[in-house]
Amino acid sequence: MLFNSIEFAVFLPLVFFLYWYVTNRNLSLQNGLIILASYVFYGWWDWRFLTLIVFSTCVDYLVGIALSKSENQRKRKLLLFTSIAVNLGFLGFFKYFNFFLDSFEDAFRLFGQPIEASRLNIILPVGISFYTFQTMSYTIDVYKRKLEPTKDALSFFAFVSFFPQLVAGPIERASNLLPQFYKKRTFNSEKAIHGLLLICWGLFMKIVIADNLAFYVNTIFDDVQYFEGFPLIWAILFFTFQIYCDFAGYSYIAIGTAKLFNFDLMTNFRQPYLATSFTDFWNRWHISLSSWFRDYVYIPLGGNRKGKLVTNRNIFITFLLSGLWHGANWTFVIWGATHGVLNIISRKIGKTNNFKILKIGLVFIVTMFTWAIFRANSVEDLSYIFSNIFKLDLSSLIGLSTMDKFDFVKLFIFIIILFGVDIFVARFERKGLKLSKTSYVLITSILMLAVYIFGSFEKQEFIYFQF
Amino acid sequence: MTSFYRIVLLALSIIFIGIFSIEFLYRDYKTGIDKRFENYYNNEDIEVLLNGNSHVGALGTADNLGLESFNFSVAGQDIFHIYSVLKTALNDENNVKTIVVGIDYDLLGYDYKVANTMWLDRNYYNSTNQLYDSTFSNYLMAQSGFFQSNRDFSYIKNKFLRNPEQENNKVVNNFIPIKGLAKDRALEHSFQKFDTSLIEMNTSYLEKIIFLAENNEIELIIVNLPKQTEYYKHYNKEAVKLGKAILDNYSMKHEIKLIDLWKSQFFSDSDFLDGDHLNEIGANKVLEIIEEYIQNS
Repeated sequence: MLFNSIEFAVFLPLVFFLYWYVTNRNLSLQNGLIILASYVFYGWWDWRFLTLIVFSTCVDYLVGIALSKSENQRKRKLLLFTSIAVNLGFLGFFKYFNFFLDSFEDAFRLFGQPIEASRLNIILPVGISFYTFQTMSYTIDVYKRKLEPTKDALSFFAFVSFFPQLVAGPIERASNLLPQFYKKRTFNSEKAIHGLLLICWGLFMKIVIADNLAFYVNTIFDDVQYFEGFPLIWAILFFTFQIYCDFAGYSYIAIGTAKLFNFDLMTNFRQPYLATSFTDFWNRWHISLSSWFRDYVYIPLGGNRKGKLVTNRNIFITFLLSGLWHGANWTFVIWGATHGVLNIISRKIGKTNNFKILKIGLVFIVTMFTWAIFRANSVEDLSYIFSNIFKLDLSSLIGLSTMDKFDFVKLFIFIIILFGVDIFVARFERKGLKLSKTSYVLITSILMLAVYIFGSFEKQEFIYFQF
Repeated sequence: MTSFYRIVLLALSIIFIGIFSIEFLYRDYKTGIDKRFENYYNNEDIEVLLNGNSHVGALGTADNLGLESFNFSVAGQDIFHIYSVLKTALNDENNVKTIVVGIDYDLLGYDYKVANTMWLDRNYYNSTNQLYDSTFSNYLMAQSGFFQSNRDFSYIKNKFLRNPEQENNKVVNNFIPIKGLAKDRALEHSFQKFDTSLIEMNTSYLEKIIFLAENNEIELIIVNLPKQTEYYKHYNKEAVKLGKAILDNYSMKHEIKLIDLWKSQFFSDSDFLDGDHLNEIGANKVLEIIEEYIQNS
């Protein structure tokens, strides 16, 4: 089920009503309803893949309990390995099987030994990268004794499948989310009102900004060889904001929805395009994933404790894996590697407070070009983009015959609004200000009317669903 | 909870007032298709119906050849909508004896989705009662004048600042194609907007057009219009191969007249307004060929 669908517009109030008026007296009922609602939410897309979630949840729940009972280090390692093997096994099979097969074929061809391997017609289960990482973090934390394993199966199943963040994050840590399922929730009006605002802002980001930009971006990137110069620049610029609004929009809706049920999810985006360095960018972009990689890859590799060279190696490996996490394509690997290099350079330069605006501009422009790597359909397309992007021709400024000037200018206006809101929110939060109830009413109404007037309703899936 | 509901209720009230105000302003909105149908229903003597995309639109009508004709063509129209318009036009009492449908090879791998103009689907709903995208959300949007107009604010400006009567009665058969270079248009049509996965579905709609003509005992002529030399050079050869095979097959199987003017020697580059739209001279040449077919049938 998509957040930007009529089905969800019916589903959410229904679950809200049942949650607060039918199951409100009993914690088990509340958690049971969340599990049921989450499975309906996920099964709406393809019910067959519910078996994967259920299996993965069962494995991690049982491994957690077994870990708590065992003091034998070898046995504990074996249990941890079982959990990681099951989760990464699913991920590897569904997401990377054909990619690795293609890469092996290419490698053999390169050495003059062409082989023909048969491919499998595999459907990628929505959100598999998100929930496998979430459950893995639970087992690893239990193994490291950072977290007490839960014996409450209902809470654990609800934690893994919690529908607001099940398919595209934020990737929650058990230490933050799981304890929230242990306590009976009571309605928190202030939190729910704030949640409503976040949902509206998320919908605005997705339906008004991201989906309107998607038309231009998809047209150019899907047939990139027909374009050069300005259209390529606009497509990269628009994609920079499309992916931000698409993904941050999803996160805001997820966080807002969770608030309606009195849950607090972690912040996933914090005005990323106002970052002053690449390290700063990754502290603001997809925070739940970058902190996951920091805690479960970078630090176990040694972090920054073993000298500069090893630190740089660790940064590079972490970003390389983060790139691969995003998708089974070499473009994602190159994108991850590029960010790895940029982060190493960023650390070398160090932190200064001078030339802040200049630094924001520079980080933004370089980040924008790295998004071209991310969005390109293939390495060939990518090479075409970078060899033809500077063939500027003023006669094809817009580049699309199907788009009129007003629609084109409108896209820039949306971007300016977004920047304005980001700057405003950053200042607002810094000063610790709060919105009045009238402001909540006005802002949510304006956002929803803007969705009605300017939104794109040609059903677009969220980009991060494919990861 | 009361304060939460109060806020929700207030916000919903503002949203609904806003939406109803907009819809009220657009309550009289008529789409190009609605206007075409009004004009069509006003003339009971029409014998020839032309329908297709802007290439057929550029032909205008065949009235000067002594045929009472009506051109339903819409720029970028796909086969489903050609079918739905013809089905509606032939639904009531009529005097139609011939249908001329323009099918370019690439049209068989094209629809409004490929062109990212799905909103056009809603333009037909009032008149044809059919939607290509039959989802509930599209059905809801098809009921709204605001969405039928593709949320065109110039309608409001014209409605209040100009003569509203004039706004709703613009002559709709004066077709102005979007001009473009032959190369760009060929690449756009036959590569960018050509999706082979749509061929199967589009041939099924082509079949429906054939059955529609057969059931109404109306002669069907399929015409593939000529293009400029430069256009041919950049056109997708696979689209030609696939399209030609399908059109030839249907023409033989159902004994339909197929006027395939692809690379026809009768036309020179001076017969065109731009890379792919005929000018008046070119259009008259085509209409004469069509008329000859009709007279001989």
